[in-house]
Amino acid sequence: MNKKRILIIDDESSITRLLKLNLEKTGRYEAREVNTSSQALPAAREFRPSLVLLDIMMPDMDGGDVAAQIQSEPGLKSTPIIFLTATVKPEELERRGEIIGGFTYIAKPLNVKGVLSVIEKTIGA
Amino acid sequence: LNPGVREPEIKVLLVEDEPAFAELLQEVLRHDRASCFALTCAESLRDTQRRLREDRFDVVLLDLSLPDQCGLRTYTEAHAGAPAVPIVVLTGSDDETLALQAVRDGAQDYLVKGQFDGRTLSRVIRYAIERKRAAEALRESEEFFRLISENVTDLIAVIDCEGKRLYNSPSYKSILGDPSKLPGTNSFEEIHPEDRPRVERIFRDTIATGVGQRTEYRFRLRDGQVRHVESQGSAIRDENGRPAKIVVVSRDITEQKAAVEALRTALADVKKSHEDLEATQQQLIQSERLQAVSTFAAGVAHEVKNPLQTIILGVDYLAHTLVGGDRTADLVLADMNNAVTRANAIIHGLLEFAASRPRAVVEADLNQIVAQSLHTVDSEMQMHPITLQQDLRGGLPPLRVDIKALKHVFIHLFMNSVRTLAGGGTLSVKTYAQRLTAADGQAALKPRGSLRLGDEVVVAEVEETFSNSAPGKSPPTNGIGAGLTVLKKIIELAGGVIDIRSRPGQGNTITLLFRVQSKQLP
Repeated sequence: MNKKRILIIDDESSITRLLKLNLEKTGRYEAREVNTSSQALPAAREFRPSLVLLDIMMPDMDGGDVAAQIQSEPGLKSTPIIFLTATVKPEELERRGEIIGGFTYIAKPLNVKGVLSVIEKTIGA
Repeated sequence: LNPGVREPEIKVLLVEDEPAFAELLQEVLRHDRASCFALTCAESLRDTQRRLREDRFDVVLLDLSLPDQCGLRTYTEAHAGAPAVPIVVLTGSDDETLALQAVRDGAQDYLVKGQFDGRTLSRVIRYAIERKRAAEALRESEEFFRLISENVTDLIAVIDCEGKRLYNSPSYKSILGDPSKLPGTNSFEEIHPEDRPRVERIFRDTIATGVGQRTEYRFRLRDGQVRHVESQGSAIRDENGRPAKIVVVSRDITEQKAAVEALRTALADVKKSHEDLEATQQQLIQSERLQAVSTFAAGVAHEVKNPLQTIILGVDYLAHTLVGGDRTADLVLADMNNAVTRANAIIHGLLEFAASRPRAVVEADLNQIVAQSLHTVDSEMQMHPITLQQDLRGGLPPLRVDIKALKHVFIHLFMNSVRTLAGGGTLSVKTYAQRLTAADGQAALKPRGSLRLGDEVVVAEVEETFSNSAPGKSPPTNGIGAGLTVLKKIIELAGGVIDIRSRPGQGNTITLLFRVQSKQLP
């Protein structure tokens, strides 16, 4: 059975590393980590992920812009993107509504069980 | 007399219808050595009146029997023509009574025809002029002082050594009534009984020493009105140099006192407003500070989330890696998980607090906030055997608060009470208004924090009581826990304080006091 590919984009390398370890430990996913937004698009082109976990706030680029870049690629247009957000303030989410609109988001801190359930809901186990 | 110095000419109007007598008088006066007389003659009253109108005379020698008038009326009518000119009446020896009557009516003197010589005539004329001059001066002086005493608003009184009134100026009318009825009455009678002994002592001192004093006291009038008066006494001495009378000059200072009092009240009001303003300013500063803290808290919470995230994912990973392995490691991981969950809850609280600023401060009714908060936790309360007792007094002064934040406080408190009383008990919620006193029996209602003595406060009292069947379950020591700091801040911002007291074995009493701005007082 082919493992589903998950691209993890977050500027915290410890988080991407642990997410990757946890996801791969299930045996169902193959994950790749990216820690800068500039590496995001090249990595996506090359890796062709089934799903992207994308931190919404990164130092060098806004998560929303990264999402737009990825979805403008013909081959990646329909790739689901799940945002990871550290801000839980409702007004913050509202302000970012135009970016998040239509996307799923998970509030940090997230646990493995929560992430897996969202992934499964989006692309199936 | 010094013959070298001639006095100024004396103008005499001689009124005499007997030419022979007129001539005689002219002759006599012409030879007078002491004075120089200029004589004008008139033979009738009508002629006299005309001359008095046309010229100025120093004296009139007036025969009372004239062709056109006789008797006392001659004098009266001549005098009316020139009241300032002295008149000496000339009369026959049979008419002396009439002459005396004229003198009583204002004539300066009289001469009986045929009974005086030149020297007497000259002297009588000169004395008449002098007496009239002195009388006029006295009259003018009296008029002058009468005008002063009638027109000054000051109260002028003269009293004798026994304190009996001798004179009171017309200005006394407004205080003691008709001044003409006052002489002989006791000048201390209307003085306020509380002030009377002091004023009497000052009066006695003034009599004894001859030195007057200034003092203030009150009059209590017959209609019950009280007037404040300021008086200065002065002793008038008799010929032996002993104080015989006291002149008291007083001023009604009632209005002045009232003005001073009004000013004092206004000043106190201004001071109070100033303090209110300062308190509001302090609140504002605090609110700004709090907002800075909020922004900081949000930043910190955000920054802490990433390392926390790493720990959570790490614990998750290790938990799976150690499956079937070390039981102790499992326990350690569980503890770590708990610790992380708690840390996460704190971060959550910080963000919530940060998100709660800034909000509009509006006028609000504490009862409404309490009732709505109770409603919110109602379903939670229903799940436990908790009895709710409410005593929310109506008519509480409005508070200026952030309604949402304050509701947050009450919901938090009530939820905590529900947890505390989960085993069964009574939750009593009371609201009321009162003024803070130092001696208040209830320690929670004593002034502290930003609250001062005498402040009007609105109080919310939350009392938890375990039921007898479910005692012992100790209230959570960190019951309100980490949230308390935030709650305290919100309450402080609303101009209030929170007081939490544990009643051992019974439950907790939480008292919230909110200061009411003074202008909202009924």
